Amino acid sequence: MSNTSENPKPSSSSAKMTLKTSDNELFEVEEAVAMKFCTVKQYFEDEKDSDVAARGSTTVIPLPNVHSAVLATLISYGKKLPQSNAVADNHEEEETKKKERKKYEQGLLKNLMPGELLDLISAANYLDFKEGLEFFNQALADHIQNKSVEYVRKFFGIKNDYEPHEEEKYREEYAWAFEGVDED
Amino acid sequence: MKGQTRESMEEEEEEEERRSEKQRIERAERAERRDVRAERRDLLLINVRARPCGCGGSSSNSLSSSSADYYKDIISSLPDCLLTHILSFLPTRASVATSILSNRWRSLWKLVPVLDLDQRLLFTRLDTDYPGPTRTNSNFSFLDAVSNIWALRNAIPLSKLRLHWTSNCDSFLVDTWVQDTLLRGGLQELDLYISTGPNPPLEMPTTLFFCSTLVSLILTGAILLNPPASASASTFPSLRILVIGGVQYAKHNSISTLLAACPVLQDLSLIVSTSNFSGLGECAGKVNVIVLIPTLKTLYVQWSADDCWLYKLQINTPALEWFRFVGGLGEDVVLENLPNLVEAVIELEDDDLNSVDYAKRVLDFSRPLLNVQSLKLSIEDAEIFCNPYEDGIPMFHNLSSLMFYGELHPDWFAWDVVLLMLCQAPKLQILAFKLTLEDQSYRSDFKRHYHLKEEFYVPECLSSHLTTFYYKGFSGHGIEMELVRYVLKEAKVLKTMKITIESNLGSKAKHRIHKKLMNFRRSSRTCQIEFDEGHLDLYPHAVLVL
Repeated sequence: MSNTSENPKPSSSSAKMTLKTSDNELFEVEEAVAMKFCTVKQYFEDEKDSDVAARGSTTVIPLPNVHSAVLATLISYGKKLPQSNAVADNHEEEETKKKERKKYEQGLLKNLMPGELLDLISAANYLDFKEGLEFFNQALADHIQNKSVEYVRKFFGIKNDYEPHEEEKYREEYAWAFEGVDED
Repeated sequence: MKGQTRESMEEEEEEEERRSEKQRIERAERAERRDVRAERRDLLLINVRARPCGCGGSSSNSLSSSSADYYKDIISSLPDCLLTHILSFLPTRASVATSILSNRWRSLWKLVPVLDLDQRLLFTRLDTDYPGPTRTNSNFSFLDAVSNIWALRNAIPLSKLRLHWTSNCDSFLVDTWVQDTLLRGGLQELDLYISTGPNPPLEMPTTLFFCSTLVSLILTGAILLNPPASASASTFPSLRILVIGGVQYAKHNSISTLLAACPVLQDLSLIVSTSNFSGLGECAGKVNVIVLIPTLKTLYVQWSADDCWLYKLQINTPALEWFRFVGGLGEDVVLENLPNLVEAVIELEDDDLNSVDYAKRVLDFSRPLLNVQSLKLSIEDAEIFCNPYEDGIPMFHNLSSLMFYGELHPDWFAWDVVLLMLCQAPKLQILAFKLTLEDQSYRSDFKRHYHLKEEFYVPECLSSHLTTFYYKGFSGHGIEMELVRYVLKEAKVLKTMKITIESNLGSKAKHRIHKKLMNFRRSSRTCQIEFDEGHLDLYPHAVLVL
């Protein structure tokens, strides 16, 4: 976050950074949001140290591992997070914001394909975006939690490469873990 | 759920092939996007696998299968560290079950640094001869499951251990687990809820108090805490969340010692009752609980009203934003320095409500709460805040949200007191009720005629600020109707009124309530009344066509 950087910058809170995705799209992002991607933050701080003269809005940070569609979602999620350096809202505004955030999150997850969800998780991992990683991992976990093994295989397209007797053996070994889940 | 036959497996494979073919055709229709995606996925996979992820190993799955396959099964090609991170969000049982997915997944669960086992969720049948309903065909005991896991998992350090074992807990086993976990280091979250029945509680090992990596500590039930006298601010330098519920304490100052060892604590829940000090004897002195933590943001204290003369409670927490207090105000309860408090939730349980001394104690207690923005009160306590101080009636100048919860009694007209409180909150915007009617057998008593005297002074907030009104648990009795009628009549800027009707009422009754409420006079033309209870059946005589 901007208030934890070593150099006290005179920039306003709406300083922007440009991120370039694997498909060569440019995203202009507010610094406060971009700093939640620790990989970006690290890059930015390395740049500062190397004393590049024309910094700030002209720096373009390349993200060769992230596609624009994925980055767009992650940025959008990052914007909805409570900003740590924001002035504390009064109770009303906070409650409203919470509700909005919940609604946004539900909408986000509703139509997400498994492949897209995994892309988001991979990208959040690459970007070291802790809140995003936690959110999408939890969403994934919630979804597969009480589902049968067959469902999970189909959902992710995992090919069962066990011999039948092998699978039988493992099912017996951990029999208590397979009791009572949804067949779905 | 048994192993599949050869035929059905082949069928399944065929179906999978068909589906993947269909998927590919669909994607071909959006040709450009698919190509870009494929390219990007290549890049992602290559980079993700090549990047040193510090986990030592990498995915053992060979990508030598055709490129069509990786399209379907991206997840298995993610590196171990990412997969185990995903698995760490699952309860252990689900995580163990993934071992069956494919060979790739066989031992992944053993690498997850999280153990999360909750007996109530795992099995409903208890370990011994439980006479009640059981989950059908449960042949397993929690002890089986727990021992199974402990024996099979790799001995990697745990970052989170959560164990809820409330029936016939084997405390020796739990002790072994906890000690082993602490010994390996790196523990960040510990959550124990155990019940040892007639056996003595589990004493937390001293090594717990040297766990400097701990961020969250939750201890409930038959546990004995004995923080060493040497505990200091360097004992729990990372602890942010502390929840202690109903545990036993070895010494009078155990709680204080523990709190003094948490310099960066943000959330504290403390549930204390007399029995928690049962081994100490009355003559040994008062129990001192001093909550003097400058970083604390949320505090929940449940403080038994019995024998409250035995305790001294002092709270001085300048950063506190949320405070919930349930229990008795003993002689020695001091609440001070709460300039940042946003919401307070109060439920007092004392009996000596008539003593003058008690009234003074309440006033002293409530003084720091006068600046809150949101207040949630047990309705029986509303009266308490209406007593005048020496320097006048306490005013809640910042209060924008007020909620009453609890039980309505037929012989006590609660609304008079509610109105008095409303007079003390001139800027109130949201008024909410979450009430139940006391004991159904008194329902007939509730049929009396209730009437709010109109000549009473109308609270200022009703005329000028109140925009939202909620009532949950509405069952249409006279007393409830009267409140709604009055508010609709006096609230000049009301925008939303939301009534949640009790679900056990028949649709005819609901319809009647709906009609009556809609007929009340409203002084605010913009007021919308919502009925929350799914859909309201407006045509009770319609025949359902099945």
